[in-house]
Amino acid sequence: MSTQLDDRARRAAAAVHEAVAESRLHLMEAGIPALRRPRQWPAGTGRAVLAGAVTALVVLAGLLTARDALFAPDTAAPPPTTFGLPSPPDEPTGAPTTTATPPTSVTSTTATTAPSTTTTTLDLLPPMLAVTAPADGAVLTEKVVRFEGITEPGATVKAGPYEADVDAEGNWSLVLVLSPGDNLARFTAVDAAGNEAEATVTVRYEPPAPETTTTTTKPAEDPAPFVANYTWGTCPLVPPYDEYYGTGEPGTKVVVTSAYGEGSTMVGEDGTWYVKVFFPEAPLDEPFPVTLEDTLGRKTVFEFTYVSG
Amino acid sequence: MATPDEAVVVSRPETFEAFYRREFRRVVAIAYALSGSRAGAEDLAQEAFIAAHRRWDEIGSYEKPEAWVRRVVSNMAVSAFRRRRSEAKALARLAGRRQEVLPPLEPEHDGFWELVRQLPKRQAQAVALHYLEDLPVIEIADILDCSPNTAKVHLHRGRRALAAKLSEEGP
Repeated sequence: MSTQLDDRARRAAAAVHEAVAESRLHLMEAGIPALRRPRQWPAGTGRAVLAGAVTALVVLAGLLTARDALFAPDTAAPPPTTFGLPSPPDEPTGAPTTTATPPTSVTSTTATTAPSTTTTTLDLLPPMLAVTAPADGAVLTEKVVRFEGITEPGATVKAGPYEADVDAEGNWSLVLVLSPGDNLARFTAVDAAGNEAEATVTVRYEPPAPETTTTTTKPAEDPAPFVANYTWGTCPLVPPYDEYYGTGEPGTKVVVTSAYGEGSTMVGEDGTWYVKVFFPEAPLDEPFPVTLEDTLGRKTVFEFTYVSG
Repeated sequence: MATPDEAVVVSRPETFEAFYRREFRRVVAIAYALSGSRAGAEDLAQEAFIAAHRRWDEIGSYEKPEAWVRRVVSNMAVSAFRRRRSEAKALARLAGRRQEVLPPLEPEHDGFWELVRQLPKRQAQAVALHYLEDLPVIEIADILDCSPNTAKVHLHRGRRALAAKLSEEGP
């Protein structure tokens, strides 16, 4: 049966995939707001605009002073005009949990147009960047973690290709997925002038331990753990049956109960047990629970299905 | 244990847009096979993705968000009411264009999926996922939200019924 059926089914499945591949699906973006992104400016646009603005201001200042020289024959030179871009905010007062690149020195350029002098201050300080949560060295049990921190207002924060949400006050957050073990998250901030800063935080992800089939409902004085296993789970034979086995406290009794069959056995001196249970009245293709319990009250439940042959 | 310098943050939860573009056509295929509707399959898939989009903060963090969207679309595709509603919407949308969205299948393949759709719903879903997606029983169980044993039973009964129907048809 299976070869002929599988062969035809796989050809029919391939035909469906081909039909879908050949079709002109709409990918109806209008129906999904997430697919309608705001226009993204190309990378570096902000820096180019800033540089252009600085140049324009320098030229304008030069023209103004030249005009003053022409139309004000006063021999006294006008006071120098100083203007600059917004200066970076103060360093954070709280101690961040991360390392941050120390600031470099501020330099200035001077544009001189006789007989006056105009000074333009450029922002060459890297933006402040700190990670406030999670703490460096934290051990986490959640795979998906929201990293939070603070940076200079207007700066962008990224971890690799992923960009954080930054509010007007410079608070940022970014959700990342951790791998089991140690994870080094490296964040970079870029301010409006194009200066960069970096901060890192190391966290450890320890996935929760998987559940086991052993259940202890009644504490005992260090009894051997009750471990139960099933052999088949399904059976096409008449009468249907399954075989259960495991380990437990020597001398205790293991009882198997279900709506359609039951059995019992004793845990041997070596701590192992085995029992075969028939389910003569089991309904066809309808899974039902089978409970295994030892005399210490420890219980495990499996599912069994009588399948047609 | 890896030192911090060797460890990396490997990824961010996938964006909905990337997930949508990656999975959309495969989900349409499931909808097409299980509904048989050339006009409505895309709308069924779209509806499933919109449901995922509404809860993407939660679903996007799942280990397998694709299993969730397959469960939704396979349930919708075997629901007669949902299928008719999606067909009506799609036909209304297509009225001005006078064209089908999906091309028809050859009679042999169309006949096969028609037999699948005649199966009980859960069997039809298990069979479609098994053959269209080439999924093992444990992943079919994950999508159908049942135990592996139950999924195994649905698949077994579905395949047995299909084999019987195909043998009645003859070669």
